[in-house]
Amino acid sequence: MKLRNRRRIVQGSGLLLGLFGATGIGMTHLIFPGLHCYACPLAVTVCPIGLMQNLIVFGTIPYFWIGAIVAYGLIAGRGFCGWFCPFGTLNDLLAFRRVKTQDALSYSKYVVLIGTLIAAWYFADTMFCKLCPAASLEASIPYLLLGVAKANRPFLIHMATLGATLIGMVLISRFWCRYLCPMGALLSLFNRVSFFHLHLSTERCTRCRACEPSCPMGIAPHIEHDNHNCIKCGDCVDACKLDALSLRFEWPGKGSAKKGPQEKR
Amino acid sequence: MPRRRTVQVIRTTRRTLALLLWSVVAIGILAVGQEPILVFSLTDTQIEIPQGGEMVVGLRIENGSVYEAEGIEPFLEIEGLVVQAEPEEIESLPAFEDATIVFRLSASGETPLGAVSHVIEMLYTYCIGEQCFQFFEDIPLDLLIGPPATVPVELPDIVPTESSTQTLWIDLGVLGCGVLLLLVAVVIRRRMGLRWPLSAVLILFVLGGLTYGVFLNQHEQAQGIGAVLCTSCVGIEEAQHGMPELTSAGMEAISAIDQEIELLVFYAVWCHACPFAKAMVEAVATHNPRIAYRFVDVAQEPELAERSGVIQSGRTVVPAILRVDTGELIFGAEKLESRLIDLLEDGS
Repeated sequence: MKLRNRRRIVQGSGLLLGLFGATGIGMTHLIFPGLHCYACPLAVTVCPIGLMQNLIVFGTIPYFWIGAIVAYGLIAGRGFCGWFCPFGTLNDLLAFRRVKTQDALSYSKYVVLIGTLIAAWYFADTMFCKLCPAASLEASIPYLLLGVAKANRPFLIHMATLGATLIGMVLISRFWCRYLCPMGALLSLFNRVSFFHLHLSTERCTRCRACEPSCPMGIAPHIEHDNHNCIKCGDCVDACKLDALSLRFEWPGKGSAKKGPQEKR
Repeated sequence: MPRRRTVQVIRTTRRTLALLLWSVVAIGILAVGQEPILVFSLTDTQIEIPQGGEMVVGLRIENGSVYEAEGIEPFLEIEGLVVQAEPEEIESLPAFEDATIVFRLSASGETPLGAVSHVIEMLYTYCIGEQCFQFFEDIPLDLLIGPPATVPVELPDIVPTESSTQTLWIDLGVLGCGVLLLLVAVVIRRRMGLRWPLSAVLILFVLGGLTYGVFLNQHEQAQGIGAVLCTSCVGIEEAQHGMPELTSAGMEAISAIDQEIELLVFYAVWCHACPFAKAMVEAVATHNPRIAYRFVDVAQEPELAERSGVIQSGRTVVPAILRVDTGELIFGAEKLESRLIDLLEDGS
């Protein structure tokens, strides 16, 4: 089975967890390993970014949150963006134009993350949630249909951010994941130490660059396979005819941290 | 060479960003909020003190709100008694934490016998942005001065706690150790090329964070935040600030209601839209004494919230106002005056 098909199955399970409330189960103590609004009528998990903002407002030292985020980061890093996050899946489904853009721009997601933290502290409110396109899709629209929400100014702001993000996703593959997702920014901090990672065999790689156009994040996998933006989706693995790239799940203690293949170039 | 330099620049930038990010996280998590709702309870409401003897009583202070309370100071002066409070003041009490002030009351041999009703005057402050508010609250205290004790009276063992100061030091210690371990592991990884120390430290963070978090009940806090939908928090409506002002037409309509109506106002302590809804119902009730109301904290009375239909598709939505006799509900605080009047007029 192609990695892409396996990924679709796992993404389906991410969506299933995201909408598990349909079974009648209420909110659990689980923090979602991606961006999924806890206000979604069918959510059974807590949004890590929403929770983080609330904890800042409350002035709570977030031990439980840190434990969960480090666990997700250590297990797969941004692999959750590529394989599990429902909003990532939406990005994936609209990834028609796999364009390569300036890598420096992708640091904007850290600005979003820091801005989210500062805004939560300064305004003592969950300011990011009021703009979050995932909340637009998963909370604003369902609650409008349920009659709880009205087509008021906050709703229109949500629709504007959702619309802009959707246009961005269509024009640039994984637009939200690349540039704006604060959860992606958090997970990317763990990308190099996570158990699940993209492995490059420098012996097999001929620098044919066949993997480059396949990458939805605009990375050149053959030279920066451990890039902070890599969502470990495996599209490059499917594209590589020489089996130089592979997705592996292994104890990160193996091997040396020095001299990554990209540095040998 | 230029590529190598670029890689180095990118790495330095990443490290700086990461450092900046975690500094902001650290500042953010230490950031404190406002608007406390303190709950005071005495360890004993009937205190008996023998002439020439002493007794201790504890005052437990719980901060049930999302905000920090500051400068919590008790005032207790009783004629004929020597009163000592420990601590004399609690500088700050963070959200969801509690503290205990212990009063030692000593009676002299000449303190008159009999029952005395008194109050402990509590003073505390909270701030929203640059605006600070001071609160006074009286805690009733009933004393009975009895005859001198024939056998020594055993004093209850109540330990004074200043939650904020103690936990802050514990938190700072835990976080400091964590950061130190992380730095050491990163240095080992970079200098010696060993990966396992960093992995081990991160695994320690996972196990320690989750265990200590569960110990502090933070998993329940997370679940509570996820289970309650505050309408203004995710932008279903705008948070209404300030005091609601009824229009003259609204006041007339409210005054014209000639039926006894009971309203339940469901709220959550962290909900930004709820204070407005509560104040609106209070304002409406002052214009028509036939309208009675009660505030219901959904965290305290989840079953009532469920029975009343405040739970929509598994999510408790606040603020919600229920008209008890008809079972009609309205959610949110937007255009509340007209919607509330419609609710009151329906079937009246």
